[in-house]
Amino acid sequence: MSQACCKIPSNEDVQAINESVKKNFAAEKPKVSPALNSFQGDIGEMIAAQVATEQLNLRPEFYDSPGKSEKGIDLIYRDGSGKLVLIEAKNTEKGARASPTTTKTYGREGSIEWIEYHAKLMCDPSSSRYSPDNAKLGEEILRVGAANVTFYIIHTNPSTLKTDTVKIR
Amino acid sequence: MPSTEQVIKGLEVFEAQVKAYDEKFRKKKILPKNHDWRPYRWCSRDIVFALLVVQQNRKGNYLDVDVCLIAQPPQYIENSGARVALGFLLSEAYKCGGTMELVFSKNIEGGRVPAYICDLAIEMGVKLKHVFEGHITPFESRQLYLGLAGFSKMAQEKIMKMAVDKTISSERVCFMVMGGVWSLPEAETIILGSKHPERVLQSASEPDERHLYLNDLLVASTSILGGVLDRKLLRTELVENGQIVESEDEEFPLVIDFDPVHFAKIYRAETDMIVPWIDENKILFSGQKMVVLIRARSDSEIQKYFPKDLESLKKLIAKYRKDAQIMILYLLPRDFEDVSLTTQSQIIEQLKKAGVYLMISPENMASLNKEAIRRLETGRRTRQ
Repeated sequence: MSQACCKIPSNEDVQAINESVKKNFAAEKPKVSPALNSFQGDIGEMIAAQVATEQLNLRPEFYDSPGKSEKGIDLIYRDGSGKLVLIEAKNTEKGARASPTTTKTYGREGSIEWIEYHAKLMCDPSSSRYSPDNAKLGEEILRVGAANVTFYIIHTNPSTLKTDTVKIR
Repeated sequence: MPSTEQVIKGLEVFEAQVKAYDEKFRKKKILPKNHDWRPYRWCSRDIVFALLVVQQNRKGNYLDVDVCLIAQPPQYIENSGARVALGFLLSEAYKCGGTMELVFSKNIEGGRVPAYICDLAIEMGVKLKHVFEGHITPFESRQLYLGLAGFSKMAQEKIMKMAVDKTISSERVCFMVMGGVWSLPEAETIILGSKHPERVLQSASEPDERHLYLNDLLVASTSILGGVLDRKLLRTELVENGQIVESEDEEFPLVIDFDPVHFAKIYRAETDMIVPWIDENKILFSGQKMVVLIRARSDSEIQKYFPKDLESLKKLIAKYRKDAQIMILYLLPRDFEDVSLTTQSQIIEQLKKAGVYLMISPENMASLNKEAIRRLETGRRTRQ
């Protein structure tokens, strides 16, 4: 990122960028339903949603997740006692314990600081993560404290489609 | 995040601006002025971070932004696209000589400050008060610029003090880093280690103000010597198909701090690494620190000032050797090899007695001074 370079683009550059963006939009299909909170085309999140409901017995929340290639909280559920459960869906060759990435300011995904940051984004109307539903969830996370929110990583191996669930908190 | 329609509209406007730029400037082989619309794309290899179109608004003296499309590539840290875009916008606003105000047109997400830039502002703890009016005020711009540059808390406090004292503006300091004149650790070395950092950063001393100029040159050369060591330690080499390839995006995980009292750099590696430029094969283990006293001296200065430097080294040892794992090093340029062999042996022996490693950089004072002069001249040509 520090080596990113700046150039005045040519018309050919613009055509190439346009084609690439249009292909990307064509590949994204509409949400199945807010309740399932999954995007077709993101296998990792779909499988994680299945594991969350069928194996962990969680109930999905109305949440506008950031999108398949965006960073942020992937899925939000509630357990039987009504406590919020955050899920990070990973679809990589690395295992669940190796997969959380590190952010510049807030440390690893799933850390308390990282969850608080994303909860603030969900509450702030100027942010890209804001929506009325997200704001309610963000306020609840900040009210109960990020340390008191359960956090799982559900990792799917893209070759075998086998899943591995790790409870971080 | 921006909707599909907003992105498509942004791309249409971008395409139109590029075509207009082609007709007005590229085909006529003339360069645009700051007040002309200029399109830019920011990429790393084939990954696009941002597409931007800007002009300096002469009447209002702010930077107009007509297109601001930001990508968030998942391979990079969060808000990477926003960092690149905002860094460019703020640097352009400074370079064009305006007030640092940014105004986003109706073509950008309906006329608001882009959502990804707001996310970055929230990450940096900067409150933007005019998001839905599409403005970032000069005050907010300065806070964002300082946050983006990445100065340590100590350096930020000193920069703010200098800004309040009106010796140098904070945006000038940030521009010198973001514009690539000084790296961040080099700028911090200058800001924290010298009595008058504003003189060096503004290139205020002319060569005929001999004493002041030579002092600034010394500060600049010493900080560049530290920068050479930083780059040596940060560089990673990957092996692809049996060839050694330097990766432009991969850096060694290293934390660099500065001790302003002794003008020494403190390095802490997060993985094991070989200590360069010393006689022994030494490894700095993960979590271990090394403290390097940096002295850019010619051969005669090395001989003259070594007793003083030895005192500084002893003070460093007293300060840091509570941690038995810490390595203390003394960094000199290659001019050390021009010192008489007898004096070299005496210096090496005294350092060994004190438990300090001698580090000899491949750069000599001639090349350090040449680089320092080049940077001071570049600074002189930049907006003050």
